[in-house]
Amino acid sequence: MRADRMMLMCKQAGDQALIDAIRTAGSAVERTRLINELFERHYPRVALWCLRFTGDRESGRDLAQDVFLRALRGLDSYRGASKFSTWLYVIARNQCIRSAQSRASKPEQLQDPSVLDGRKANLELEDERLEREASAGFVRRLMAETLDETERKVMTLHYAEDVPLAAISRLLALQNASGAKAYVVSAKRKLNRALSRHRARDERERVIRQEGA
Amino acid sequence: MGETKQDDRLILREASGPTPDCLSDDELMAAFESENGAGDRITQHMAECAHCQAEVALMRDFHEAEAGADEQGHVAWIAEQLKASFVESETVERNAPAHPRREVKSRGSFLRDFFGTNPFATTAWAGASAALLVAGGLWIQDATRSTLAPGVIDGPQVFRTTSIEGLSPRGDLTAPPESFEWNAVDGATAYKIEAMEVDRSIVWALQTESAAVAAPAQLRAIAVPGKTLLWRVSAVNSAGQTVAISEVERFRVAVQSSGGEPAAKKVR
Ligand SMILES: [Zn+2]
Repeated sequence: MRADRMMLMCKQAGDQALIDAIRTAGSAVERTRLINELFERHYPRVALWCLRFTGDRESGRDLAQDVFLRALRGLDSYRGASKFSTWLYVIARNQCIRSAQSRASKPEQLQDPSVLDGRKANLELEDERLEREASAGFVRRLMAETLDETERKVMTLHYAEDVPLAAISRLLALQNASGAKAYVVSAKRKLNRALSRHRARDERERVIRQEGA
Repeated sequence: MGETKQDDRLILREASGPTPDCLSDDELMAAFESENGAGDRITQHMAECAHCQAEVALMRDFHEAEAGADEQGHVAWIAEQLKASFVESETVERNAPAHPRREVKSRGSFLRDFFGTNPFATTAWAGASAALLVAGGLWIQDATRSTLAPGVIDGPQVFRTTSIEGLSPRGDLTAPPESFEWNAVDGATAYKIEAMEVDRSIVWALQTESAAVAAPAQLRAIAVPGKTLLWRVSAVNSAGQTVAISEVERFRVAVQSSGGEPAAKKVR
């Protein structure tokens, strides 16, 4: 009865209040119960993220368990400067990136089923190469200027974090036929267009300078 | 042609990854939660950095994602599994022993979390962790298959001191690694080290009795800038059984800033 009342109170309390209660809990049993209560609120959100990241529920579960174990281990360092869910996301993100690298061996992770068959060939043809003179710093700036939000997310996850395209398609719930691959293609095309614009402008300026000299 | 593709990858990796100027996790969280009200540095950096923009957008996705019809069942199942692994604290004694039951099996990250060198900061938290650990016996047993290599023992021989961790190399390096290092494990008589390509094909393997080994020249040769390599180490006892296996660590020699390199002129 006492436990029931406490659980009810907890459900109404915000995460922060719950965390405060965890810190001041009088017994290990009570603490454990409160932690469970806190974590349970976030199980569905983390479960969905991990499911999408891995593509199957068993792996998603393993990943989500790792996330909550790390959350449990780091709970002491959570100071409440951000929402608990945001803090949890950072743990989930780091854990997902780790797993992306260690799961890279699974064949299912290597190929993107959405770009198999006929579409693949077409997309490869359209997959432009970057202009050779592009430097990383310059491309970085162009990415911020010219890419849309989805393209930026896809490029960051794929190139910076080594996340397979199939996992990115699931994570971002991309509904188009070729998923994340199409965004890589469009991002590269935009970058190339921006690079040629800049090159043309530089050339114009060079000519003007020469004519002025 | 293939080389050019590789160049693209390196440039895009560098261009879409974080720089030293990028926002810390705390700053990213502040950027996400206060949108326009974050500090000057955060607001200014967010305006010009695609990487941090993407990071914050992903935080928003995480909060706003909704399970589709085909996902709801799986999400509910995972949530149930999580619940089963963390609950039932009522059955746990208040002063639960700080060591696992004997049937608790090895799981790399799990053991590292609880028996590594960085346990909970306070004894209060240690009490909570012990309670959760015992209650979580179900999925500790469940989870062995996914992380342990074939041939790893799955009996009760694995104890707390068998946690092993690859200490070096890890992450981005400025030069190919000179050596591989890990923590010594009680009861281990040898260590088996494997270096792998990202597709897990083994490029080098060696057995040694010490907790460090020099990186061979052929490995240093293939560790070219931008190429990610993986490695892990396992501890073997005198009976030849694997008693612990590390998580797979990754490293790569960072790509040098492309500033000084003359750009090849493209013929159009
Ligand atoms: Zn940044």
